[in-house]
Amino acid sequence: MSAAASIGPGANNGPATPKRGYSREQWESKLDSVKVSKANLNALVMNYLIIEGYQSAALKFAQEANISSSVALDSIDDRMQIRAAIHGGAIQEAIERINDLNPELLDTNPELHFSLLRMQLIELIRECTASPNGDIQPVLSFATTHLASRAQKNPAFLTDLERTMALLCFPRDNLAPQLAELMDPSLRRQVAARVNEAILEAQGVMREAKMRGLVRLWGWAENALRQEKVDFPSLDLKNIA
Amino acid sequence: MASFLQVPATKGHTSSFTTVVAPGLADRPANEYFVPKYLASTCYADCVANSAVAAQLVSKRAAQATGSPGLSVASSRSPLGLFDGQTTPQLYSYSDLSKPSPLPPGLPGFQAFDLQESSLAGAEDVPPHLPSCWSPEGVSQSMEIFGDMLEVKFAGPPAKGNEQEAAAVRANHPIPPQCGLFYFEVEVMSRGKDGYAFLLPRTSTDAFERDDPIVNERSFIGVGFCGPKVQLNKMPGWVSDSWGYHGDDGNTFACQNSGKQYGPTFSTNDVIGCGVNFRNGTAFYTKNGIALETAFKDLKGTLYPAVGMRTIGEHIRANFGQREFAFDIESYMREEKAKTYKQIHTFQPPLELLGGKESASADTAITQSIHKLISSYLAHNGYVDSVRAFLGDVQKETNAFSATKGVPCGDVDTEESEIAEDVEAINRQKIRTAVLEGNINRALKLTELFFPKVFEDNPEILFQLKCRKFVELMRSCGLAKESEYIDDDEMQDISKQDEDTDMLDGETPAKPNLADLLNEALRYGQKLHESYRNKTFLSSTTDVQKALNDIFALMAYPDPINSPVAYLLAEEGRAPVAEDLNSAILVSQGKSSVAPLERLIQHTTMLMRELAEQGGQSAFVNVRHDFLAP
Repeated sequence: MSAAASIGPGANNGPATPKRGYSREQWESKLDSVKVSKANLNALVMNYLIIEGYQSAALKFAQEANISSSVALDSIDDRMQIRAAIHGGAIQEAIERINDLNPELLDTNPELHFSLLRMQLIELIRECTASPNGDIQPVLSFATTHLASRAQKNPAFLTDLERTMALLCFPRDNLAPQLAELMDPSLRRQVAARVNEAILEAQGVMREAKMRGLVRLWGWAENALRQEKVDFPSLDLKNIA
Repeated sequence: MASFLQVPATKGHTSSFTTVVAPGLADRPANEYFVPKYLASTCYADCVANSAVAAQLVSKRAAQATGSPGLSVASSRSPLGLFDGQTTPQLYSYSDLSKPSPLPPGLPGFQAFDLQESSLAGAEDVPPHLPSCWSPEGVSQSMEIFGDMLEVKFAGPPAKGNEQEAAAVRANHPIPPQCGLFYFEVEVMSRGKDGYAFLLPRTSTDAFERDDPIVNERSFIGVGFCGPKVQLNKMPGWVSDSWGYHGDDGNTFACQNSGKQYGPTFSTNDVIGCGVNFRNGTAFYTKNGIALETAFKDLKGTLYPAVGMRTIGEHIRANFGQREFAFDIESYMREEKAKTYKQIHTFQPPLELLGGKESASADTAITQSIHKLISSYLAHNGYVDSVRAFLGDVQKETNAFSATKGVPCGDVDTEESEIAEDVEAINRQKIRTAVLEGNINRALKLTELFFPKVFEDNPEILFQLKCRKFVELMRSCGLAKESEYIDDDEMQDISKQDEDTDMLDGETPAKPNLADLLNEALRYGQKLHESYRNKTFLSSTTDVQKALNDIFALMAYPDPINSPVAYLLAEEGRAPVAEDLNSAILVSQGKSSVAPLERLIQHTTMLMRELAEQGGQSAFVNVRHDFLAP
């Protein structure tokens, strides 16, 4: 680090700085100079386990690493069951559990509520289109009772609803990509993650696990430094045992 | 611009600190670092904090061998007697480095670091200093620096004839771009002999004087910054490589002697702040705590804070973060940080970096990477039950998907559940547990059994364990003593009877025999002393003799548990020993002593540091502060 520092937009479009480069050896010795305390690492892992709801892991980890956690570990359980319900497609159950846990959560989050109801609609459609002679009636009545009135008030909801209903019109195994993504299970993951975040936020806990932000920052920084034409060995996350 | 004449209001704000006397800032040793509170979450603060840790590892290692908690170099003395002894400024110490406790409201935030540069890895890794006072090497002959090197007075001779003659002073260090944003304030103590106040005609059309003021105060003082080679006989801004905001006309000057209309004039009692933002190479000013617009763009080069003066009696006092600022720089800083993270958040990491499958979304790929990081971290530390529980939880999560019919499980990662039970990890877990229970004998035996090469490769860790064993022996003596009911008389008897070990025999059959325990401890201590008396470890920082002296101090007290050295006996001392042993085993097995998760943090920290070297938005990220602080 030089004391004589030059100022400029730097990372973005700064003047051509002398090209830097590090061999693996040089880079690793630089890495070794960064000291991270065990307590901090443990806290980072614990933060992830609690926020993302890995309860038994959190309990064991607290024991083995001798961490006293400030967050009540049993509060994870509710969130975990809600998440499992959504992952399993049992949206009605999830909504009931959410209301038991926090009766105001869905009322104060119309977008979240809508995305859950639409997920429920998708699950009904999935059921109905699974067999050739599926009954379409439950789908239609659910859409009319629960979604239509909401969609009228919000144009974005309406678009989503229309798109979802289009699923009924096309054969399941030959959907346009835009429709296929609605049937993709990763949508359940997304909805579950949003519900988890909303519950945490209502409990005054941060929404996102720090670990997620850290991995994202790493990806961003790795890319940014490459673009500055600095030569350094990439971190390989692919082959972690 | 009603702020124009609000001088009395802001004066009260700053004058609450006028009794504060900072002892000679310039006299401080070069290895002390002061990081103002508003910079605590920057890349710069991370560099300094990391160097502080590195410097303290030496003392920590020595302390670890004896089981004492890592003692902080910085907290053992008070390098910052800024507040007249009324309040204690916050210092970083090793143990709570990542979480400075919040300052009491209204107190200036300061973190002090005391680095022993000799112990740092390499000279090029020593972080640069922040500007902290005016420089005796960078001051015009017409000026006087005093008051802890923060105050400057124009002493003369006055600039004659040539309008362009002036005097300038610059700070002791240039601004390191790693800090992202540097801010300082200058309080005008006196506008000097030729500064003036006059009545303005109400018809003035000047944008800043239109509203109400009829009295106008001006000073011939300029606040700004300049490069290292700028001559000190010109106002900042008048010559190339210098920038300034001038109190006589409220104009800004950027490297030339024609100004640009910018803000209000300023004079006695006004506080002018100057901020340089390295995200985009801009600078802005504040007057009496209120921000003015952007003053300069496209800033380049090495920049020192600077002040210029032109007439006798002019007097200013600078604040480089030693006192509370009139302007709320912390909010400004938070906004800058939020901007950076907003951009990072929207960035989609390339999948090939994460090693995700083609079909997977970036979020799924991130999740899978995190799961690998966590299970490898847990296994690395020998937390075998945690690994099992975690993999079980993950499995449960994936099962939830496959439970429903008709759902393709394409994005479910099955590799995680296939991680084999790691026998070696289980063995390391057993050893760790033994150390944590204080059963050092068992730990020694298990290590010999499972990993016979460790002590051969790393005699230090053996020494560390033996020291801990002695400490544990003393600990059982202390505990045995406490568990017996002993009044003062008997206590003296016992210490007299130390040699006569049969006295207590049979009295407390259920409990360990105190005298036997003491004897065993003494014998072990002697053995330890014999074998390590003249030994030093070439490759290490462990001071063997000091470590031995420390733990033998335990024998000097009849009741070690209530003695001044009781901290040596604390159970907390076991964890660092267990960790060092775990690392030593991993190294001897040809594995990295660092878990992939730790590597990721180190790698990301280094990436950010490289990126922030030239400023830019990366400077607003502090990995330690933003992700590791509990």
